[in-house]
Amino acid sequence: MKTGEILVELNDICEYFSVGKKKLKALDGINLTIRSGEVLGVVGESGCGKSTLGRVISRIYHPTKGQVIYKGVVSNVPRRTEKEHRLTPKQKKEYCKNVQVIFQDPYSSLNPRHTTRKSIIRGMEVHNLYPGHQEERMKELLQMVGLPESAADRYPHEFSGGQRQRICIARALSIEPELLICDEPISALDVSIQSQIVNLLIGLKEKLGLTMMFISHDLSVVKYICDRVVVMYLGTVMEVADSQELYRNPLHYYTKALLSAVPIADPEVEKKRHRILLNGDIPSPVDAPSGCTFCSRCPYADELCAKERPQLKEISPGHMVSCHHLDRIKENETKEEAYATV
Amino acid sequence: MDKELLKVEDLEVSIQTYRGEVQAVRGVSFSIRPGEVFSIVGESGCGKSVTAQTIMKLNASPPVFIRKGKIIFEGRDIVPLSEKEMRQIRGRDISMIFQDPMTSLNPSKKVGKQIEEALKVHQHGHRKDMWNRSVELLRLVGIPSPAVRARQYPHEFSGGMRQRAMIAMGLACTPKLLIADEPTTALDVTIQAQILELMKKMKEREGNAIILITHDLGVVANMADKVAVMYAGKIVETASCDELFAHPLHPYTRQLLAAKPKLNQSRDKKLVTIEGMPPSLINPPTGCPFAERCKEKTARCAMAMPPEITLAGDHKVSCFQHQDAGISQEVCV
Repeated sequence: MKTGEILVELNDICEYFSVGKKKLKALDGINLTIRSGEVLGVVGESGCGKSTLGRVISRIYHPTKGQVIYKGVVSNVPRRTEKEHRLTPKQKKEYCKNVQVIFQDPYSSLNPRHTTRKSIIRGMEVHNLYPGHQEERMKELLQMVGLPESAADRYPHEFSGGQRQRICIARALSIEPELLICDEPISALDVSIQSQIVNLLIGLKEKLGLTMMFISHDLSVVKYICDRVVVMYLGTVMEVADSQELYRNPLHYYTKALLSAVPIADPEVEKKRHRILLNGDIPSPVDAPSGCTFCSRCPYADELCAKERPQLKEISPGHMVSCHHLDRIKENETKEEAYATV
Repeated sequence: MDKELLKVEDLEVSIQTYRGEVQAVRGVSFSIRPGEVFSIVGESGCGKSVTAQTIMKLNASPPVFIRKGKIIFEGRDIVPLSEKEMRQIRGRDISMIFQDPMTSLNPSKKVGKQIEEALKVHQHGHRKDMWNRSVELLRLVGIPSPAVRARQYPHEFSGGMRQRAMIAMGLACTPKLLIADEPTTALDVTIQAQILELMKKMKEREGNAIILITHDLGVVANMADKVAVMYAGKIVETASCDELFAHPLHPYTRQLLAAKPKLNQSRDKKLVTIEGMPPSLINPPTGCPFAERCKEKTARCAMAMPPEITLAGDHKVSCFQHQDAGISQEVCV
């Protein structure tokens, strides 16, 4: 598959969970594409559905509505419609080989009773890869992620958080996936260890030509690794753009607020910065607003926002935003700037 | 303003575990003036939280022992004080807010009642006045419809609101020192911005000093007047906030600053990594604790702990690299 072709397509993905008699809308109508060879970042606050999205793509969850299309083949649909789409067990297994996940918490995502060897080789056994050479392949993988060969016979509790995350990466890569979903792979680690893992992931991506989906709430890390960024809020997509474009020219008010809330490790910059403070908290996704999901915290919201959900519109090539009042936000900002210069 | 509010001198704290004695804090000294925001930064396990808890004397002994050192609060050493005497200080003079507002509030008590509790211990007055005061406090920290919220239980609050309630509780008796132990780590960035703004506002209003413990250098840059960088139970560098970010001297500080990607960082530049892991504090190294991971180490580093030297602008650093520089600078002056 050539770089830049569409690898994964998400069509109107919805994921509802039942909470008592109510519905929790974790994802509500997500349309996205992941191109081959790119690193797609997904950012948002906790509870915005970014992890659920990763889990739907990796077939851990079935969507309530919508389709995941992988290389033109329908690969994840609501469970009851699986028969219609004639998804065979073989296809499902093949899909799992192609899409692998690294989870946030390296403490709970490794089986404590399995040695590193067993954890890494298990996947190869299941998919019948490298028959007879699995031991060598495992050693190669350990070396690739920067662990000594002696790590093979040790158990997860003998490793630190950063080392465990390396084992998880080795395990995910053991069956040569095409798409690697990293669900907050570094947020449980210390800063000095984070940079080790980030550099490792970037190196591996270039070496193996992986496509990556990088889910994180850390906007500076996302900017550093990702080619394209999706901003999510309460189960819907607010803005999609190339990472340079998004950070330079955020259009959605939520993206602006999110970026301005990131603390910067430089007191000079911090003093000069104008910070947008959002009022209140994220509303519960159980009774999410029926219109624009952001309308309860947006200063520009009016009746239209409360009634009708804005569609993702392409503003400039590759830059998509869902907001009714882009013009008003822009107008207001030019006014503010004018004030500032006066 | 010149008088020190709190002075910690050569504090050593160790924790007894089955695997041996963990020397969590190994000779920490710093001082805080009234109204100052003093920040302690470091990675997990570097002893920053233990230092804070020791100032409040919250740790049960055993397993935690203060081996050495003085904690002088307003001219009085609080290390030898009894539990009863400490209770007079806690809440009234020094109070603390914790990282996880979920577990640090009592789930079976109404939020207003919990704030009232702090007032009851330290102040005498009419019950109704106290209740009104706790509602007032909730209003001050920006909780909408405080009279209703005060009658609710913590589970009815969101994470950010719980942290607001914690701040209200911490400030109930207008303490002179507020210790904030990772107050925003469990919160989202937009909520974090709100809480930091609130802490600044409350500080301006009440004039209390703050010890801010965090691992996020961005939060430090936003809040602190003075910063101490801790590593493996020792303070390796202390300076004013502007000075530290402009001229980080210790190799650990420099690498920590470089290890985090900045929003304006170009993608071509590789992130600086600090290889390896912090040393175990059961048998801490005799030399500089960072020597093992330091890219600029010399033979001397592993042998002895470099002494703390003071450079221009009250910038203190413990590194042999600057020992020579320190002397030459003095000569220059």
